[in-house]
Amino acid sequence: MTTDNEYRFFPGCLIRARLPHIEKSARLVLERLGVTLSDMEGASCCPNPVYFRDLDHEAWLTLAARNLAIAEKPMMTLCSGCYSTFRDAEHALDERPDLKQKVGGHLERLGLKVPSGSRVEHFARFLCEQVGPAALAERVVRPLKGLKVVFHPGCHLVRPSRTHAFDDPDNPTRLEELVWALGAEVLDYPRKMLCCGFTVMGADKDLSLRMGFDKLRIMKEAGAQAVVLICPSCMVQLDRNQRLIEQEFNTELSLPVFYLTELIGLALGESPDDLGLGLHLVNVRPLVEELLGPEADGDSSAPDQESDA
Amino acid sequence: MEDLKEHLKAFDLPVRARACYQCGACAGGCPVGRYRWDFNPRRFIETIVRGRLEELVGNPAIWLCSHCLTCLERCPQQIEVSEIIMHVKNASARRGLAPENDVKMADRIMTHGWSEEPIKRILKKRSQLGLPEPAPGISVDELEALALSLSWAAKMEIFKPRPAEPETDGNPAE
Repeated sequence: MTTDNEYRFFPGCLIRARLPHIEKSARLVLERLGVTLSDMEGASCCPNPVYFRDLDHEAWLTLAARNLAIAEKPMMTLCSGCYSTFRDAEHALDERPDLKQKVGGHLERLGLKVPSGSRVEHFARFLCEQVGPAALAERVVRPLKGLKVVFHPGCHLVRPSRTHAFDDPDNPTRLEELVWALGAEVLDYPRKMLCCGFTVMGADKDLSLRMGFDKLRIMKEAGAQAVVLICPSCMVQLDRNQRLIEQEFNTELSLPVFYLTELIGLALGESPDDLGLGLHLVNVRPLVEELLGPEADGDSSAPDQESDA
Repeated sequence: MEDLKEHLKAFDLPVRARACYQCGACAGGCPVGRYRWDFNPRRFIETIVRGRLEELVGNPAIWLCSHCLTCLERCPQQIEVSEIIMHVKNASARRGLAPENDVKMADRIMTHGWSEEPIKRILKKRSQLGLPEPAPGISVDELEALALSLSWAAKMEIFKPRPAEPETDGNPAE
């Protein structure tokens, strides 16, 4: 942890615009674990490490450098895409004096200087490295006994491994240990590192849905009752687009998808209502009731109705 | 050809691709290549090494890269395949070949600061959950200054969105 344990809160565009329940669970859990999240005024999109960088590397690097420059303190992001943009941008600015000079020229017009050093933390990496499974287990008041989940690590927290250096890029397991610490069982499954397909949506929607379908189908076949993940793009693809995938492939999946912070929140005693679990598009309610018993009652809200494709 | 020359100069793509000995580990692990035979990172690198970068810039399949970075992790030579493809896409965008969605989203960010704003329904849900209003973002003045510095308007003239590719069933004409 940083000495004062304060981070600039950088939820990322998808959570800010579409997934308030993830922001809620992250704030609840991180604050319970002693983190102070302060608002970051004047920020922009990170911007996106795929479609924006694909279009114009220089503009991408400039906006990313500006966010890093105005943060002043380390940022805590809830999104693997933002994490990837900031880590890659820091790396590019370190390695390439020519790019640093170019970006410096753009930032100068705003009265800003190119930042140096590392200024970004991913919430899941923080939970792993600064809290850890043992300390997390001590705080569990409602063990998630009997729950069988699969973990979907996504691409950008662990890759590229030579700069991110967080976990095995082909079979990451450190985050699964956090889920074990909550009392749940984490199942092994084939093709764990298969991309969810979200980023292909703009170029080929059919392909994107196909990738999402295969991912969900393999997870279901492995016996999972739910998916746990750490990236809002994966969340949109596997939860909010799941109904679309079901229609496209004429099948029923009904596989609930949790953000890691939501599952931790439940185990630490937060109520499903406070966590906003009614905002999931795939109904998580039957599973949560099975886990928590009648105390989960009280939230009458039906699951959300809109997909995001 | 200015776009290509500029990119070659700045990012030296053929030199970075030269260490490739065509083992195919990138293509074997590629999640997109599993479904689309026309997306083959090994062949993309081969095309660059053989000096036919021009051909790759005009190939719409490059836009399918999901940037999952499996290729980099698998490459015995640690060639940054996705990053090389990204720079080729930058050159391709300068010919007006970028997908419409990408162009629209990027322009929204450069003009509004965010790819999207929370709609009323989400703002209501935020307040029901006891969340604060989203923090105010980058100012219009700053966005305008950056757009000017980056010559964004001129770039948008070139990026101008093209319509989506017609259905190909994964078998586009080469």
